[in-house]
Amino acid sequence: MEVFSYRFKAMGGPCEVRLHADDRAQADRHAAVAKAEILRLEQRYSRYREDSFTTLVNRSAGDARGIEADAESAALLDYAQTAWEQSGGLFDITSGVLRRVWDFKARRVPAQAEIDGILPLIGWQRVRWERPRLVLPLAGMELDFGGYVKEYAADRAAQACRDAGARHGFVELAGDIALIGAHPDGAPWQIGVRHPRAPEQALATIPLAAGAIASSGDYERYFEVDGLRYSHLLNPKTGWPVRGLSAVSVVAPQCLIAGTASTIAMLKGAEAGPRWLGELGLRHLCVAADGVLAGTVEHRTVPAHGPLTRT
Amino acid sequence: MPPKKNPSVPLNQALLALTASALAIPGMSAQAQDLAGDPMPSAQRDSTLLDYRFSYYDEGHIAGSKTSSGQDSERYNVESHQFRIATRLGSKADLTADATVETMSGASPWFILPDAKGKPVQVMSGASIHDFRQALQVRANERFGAVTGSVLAGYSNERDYRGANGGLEGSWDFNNKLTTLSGGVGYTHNDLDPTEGASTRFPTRIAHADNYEVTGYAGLAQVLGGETVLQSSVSFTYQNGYLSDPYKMAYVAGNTVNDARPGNRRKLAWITRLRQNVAALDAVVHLDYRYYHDDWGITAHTAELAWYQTLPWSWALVPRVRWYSQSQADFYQPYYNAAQNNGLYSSDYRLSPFGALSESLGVYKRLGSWNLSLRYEHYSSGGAYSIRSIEVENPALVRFQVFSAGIVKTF
Repeated sequence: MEVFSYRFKAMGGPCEVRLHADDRAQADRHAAVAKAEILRLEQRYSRYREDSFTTLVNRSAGDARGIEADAESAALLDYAQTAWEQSGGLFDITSGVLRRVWDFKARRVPAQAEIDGILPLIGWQRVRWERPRLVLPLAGMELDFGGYVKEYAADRAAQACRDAGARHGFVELAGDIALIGAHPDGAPWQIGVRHPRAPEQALATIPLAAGAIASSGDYERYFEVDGLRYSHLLNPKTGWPVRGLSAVSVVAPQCLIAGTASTIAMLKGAEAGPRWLGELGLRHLCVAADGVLAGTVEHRTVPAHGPLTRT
Repeated sequence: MPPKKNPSVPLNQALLALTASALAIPGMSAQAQDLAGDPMPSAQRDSTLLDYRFSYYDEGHIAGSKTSSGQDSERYNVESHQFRIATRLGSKADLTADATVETMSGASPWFILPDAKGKPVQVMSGASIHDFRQALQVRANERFGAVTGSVLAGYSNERDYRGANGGLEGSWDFNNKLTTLSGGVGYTHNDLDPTEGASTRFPTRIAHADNYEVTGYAGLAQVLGGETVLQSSVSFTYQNGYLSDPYKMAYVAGNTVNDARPGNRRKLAWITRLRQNVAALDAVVHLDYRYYHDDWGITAHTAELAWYQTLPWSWALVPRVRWYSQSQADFYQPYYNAAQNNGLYSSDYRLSPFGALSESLGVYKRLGSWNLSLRYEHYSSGGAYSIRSIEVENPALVRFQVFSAGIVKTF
């Protein structure tokens, strides 16, 4: 068997399908299945597409009739509700509207009054979700599936590959990885974990033979003003970026759960985040603001911060 | 507006809720089987697997203080070669075949005499046993969505014994694959043609006999949070036919008579297994308890603790300890001072009251697509391990050790 790699852009970031196959034709077939699944989900949940479910929902804000969700979207909304409940309200898919005041390109810290003006539009508790009917009662409210559809797509694409007969490989969407399966000899993939202060380098490698790994960090979108880092990880209750952890990687059977857990841990902060992951019983690796590594997952630190590889 | 729960962070329930919710999304798959923690590969994950294992089972000698001759006596040993091939058949089915070839030799307990003080002493059969066993067991699984169906068939052959079995099993995943309900039925038929049966040397030994066994079980497995699985199952077995040991005898008031047990037996077993992933140590704990009761009067308890420890460089270490205790069969006696009205006689140590403790250590190493393993087990039985104190210990209670080495290749 040989290793084949397919790279493309989707969901706003780099994607890779890497798999072992008998020949190029077989690998092409398996990768095509994965790519098709990812593109299907991008089309459906992108907020930049006119015809997406997300756009349809957001256009309906303020309309008391709401809209009807299809089975897949309904299940994703149920999941968002569960994550909101289990995170104590920190995982909230209504918080995307904060981007109206937090412009990470303009690198501007908004005034408290601007944030206060947005907060009334945020909060899953304001959404009326009576399966299959979804109502965003206030004009200006938005849902953003970006916080978890990427991880869900990794799971779905990996499953699609397995269904097509692939056994060994992984699907990666911007750092979040769902395994199709271990190497043909059963050896785990060695997954490089991003250095939060040198994101193209690996801080550690984590062996993974099954399941998924997802990471969240303050390096993904941020700017610094007066030595303070403002990351895209915004607390939906205060509207301000969270501080505490630099990065969190979580290993779970599903990439969706790994991603949700790593996001929630980042939002919970330096002390409550790792403790919550410990209570969940999920293996994890946390990088504190001072760069110190802590966690429960077997890993090897990369001394010279080598390249970010998956081998 | 639907009632919404107040945001809260309950322990572990959080992961259970997220998992249930994630698996409710169409097309998401559970991977709870990854929690099994088995360091060895399986056909579930790999396309084809070849497995060879050699085992040497060696019973410790029986001390002269426990034999009628006053001499130490060697006991039984078995050399066993096991081969397995497991392969996927398409994306929804797999097939496993196990072949076993064994050679057995040594002496086994024959009957028990009272010595001058009434203490039971063992008469051994002499190193007369040499046998050879071949067995083949085949299992096919097919998945139909949330339901998996299995067909089993097997055959075993020795010089003095032939057995054939068949079975059907099914399992059903529901509750977002967090719960698995399983059940099965099986049938076995055995033919016995004891060596030197009805011979001039052993005129009372039977020449031919047979028996059958019907068994059924039902089980439930539940994923509790992301790192814990609890399984519980109940099985019932009915045996009918010749269930005595044709090579054993019992001492009855100065004579020896054939081992004679009831013509049927009803057995009930209840097994509960806990699998707990210890993420902080990259280990999995297996804790098992088995309760057993049959209508011959035996009640038994088994408790087992195993620790599957993953180590760097693809090593794994599995220490395991098992404790066992049983009460005796109603009709069992080490020897009989008078004939019994029911005509039942057995002095077999396996029907006596006893307890046992076994310790084992397995070492596993993966080298590319090869998996190597070494295992050692030591087993010791006696009155000291029993729940209840035992007045008269059967002199034949066994000690043994097992060495085994295996190699697995996956494709």
